[in-house]
Amino acid sequence: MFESFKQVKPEEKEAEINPKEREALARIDQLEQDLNIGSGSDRINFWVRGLKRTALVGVISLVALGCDARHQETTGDFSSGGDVVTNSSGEIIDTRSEFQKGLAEERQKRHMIERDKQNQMTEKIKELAKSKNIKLDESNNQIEYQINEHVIDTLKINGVVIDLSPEDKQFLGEAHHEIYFDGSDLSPDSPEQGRNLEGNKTLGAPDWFNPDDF
Amino acid sequence: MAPLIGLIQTIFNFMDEQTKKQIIESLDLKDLPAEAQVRVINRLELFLEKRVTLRLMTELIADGKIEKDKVLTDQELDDLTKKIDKEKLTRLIQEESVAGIEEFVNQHH
Repeated sequence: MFESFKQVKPEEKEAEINPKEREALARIDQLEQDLNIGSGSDRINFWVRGLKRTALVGVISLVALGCDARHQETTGDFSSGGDVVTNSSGEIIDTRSEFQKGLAEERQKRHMIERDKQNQMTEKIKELAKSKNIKLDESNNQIEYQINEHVIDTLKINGVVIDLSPEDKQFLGEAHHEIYFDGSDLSPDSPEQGRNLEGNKTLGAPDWFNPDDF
Repeated sequence: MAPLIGLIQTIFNFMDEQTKKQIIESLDLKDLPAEAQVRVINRLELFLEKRVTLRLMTELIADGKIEKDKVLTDQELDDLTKKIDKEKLTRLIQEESVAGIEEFVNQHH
């Protein structure tokens, strides 16, 4: 059963969610709300997203704060979690609105996709390491790679060059791209602001909002 | 796109397969389709990421390594990243993962 952990797309239609699953997800939402790190907390979401930038299959680095900082530049009320949206002239154009909620939902969705891709890459790297008898531990693994046009050219795991099939190169490259270069950084100074994953306006974005203005 | 060299230190997933399995059993989600179980686990991992992040930032602020709400430059971020104690970070991840999982499972019961 758990082999399939690496293959499932996280997005599903709401209607297809089993009540048990819905309840479990709701409980996690509640735990996050209790810590003020829910999907509406821009600050923590930007941190988390930033953390992922420098960890291929894992968790941590601190570029996170950079995302946070860029967010602050354009949203004004940063300290309270980005409740206020300003336009490029600095005028307050919206408070905590459906638009913001829509953005938060898109970010959450995005995180889930990234998590899924990270899991896929983790499994693939483990598999490749095993094929070369490379021992991996919980930390201090060095993964070096060169990527060009969504394809991984070379890969080293803990200094050992890994033979990659064309499929492996494509798979890892696409997954990498999905995680890091998908243009899905929904920070307010990004041209992607206000777009959902299909490139359309985010759910709840007001009529006046044009992502191209940012 | 110009070639990009990535040099990455990995810290593997928050949960091993056995832990995932135990969580699914504890929550009585065994009868759900595999993809639904994955969604729950993925969502839980995201929650754990946030917990770790929150704890990390809180400790960095408490240690005086960053100022609350201060905007950092890219260079300052790079410098800060280099100063992070990796052992401490690993311990922190483990602690928060265990605490978060327990909280989730206990809440269910």
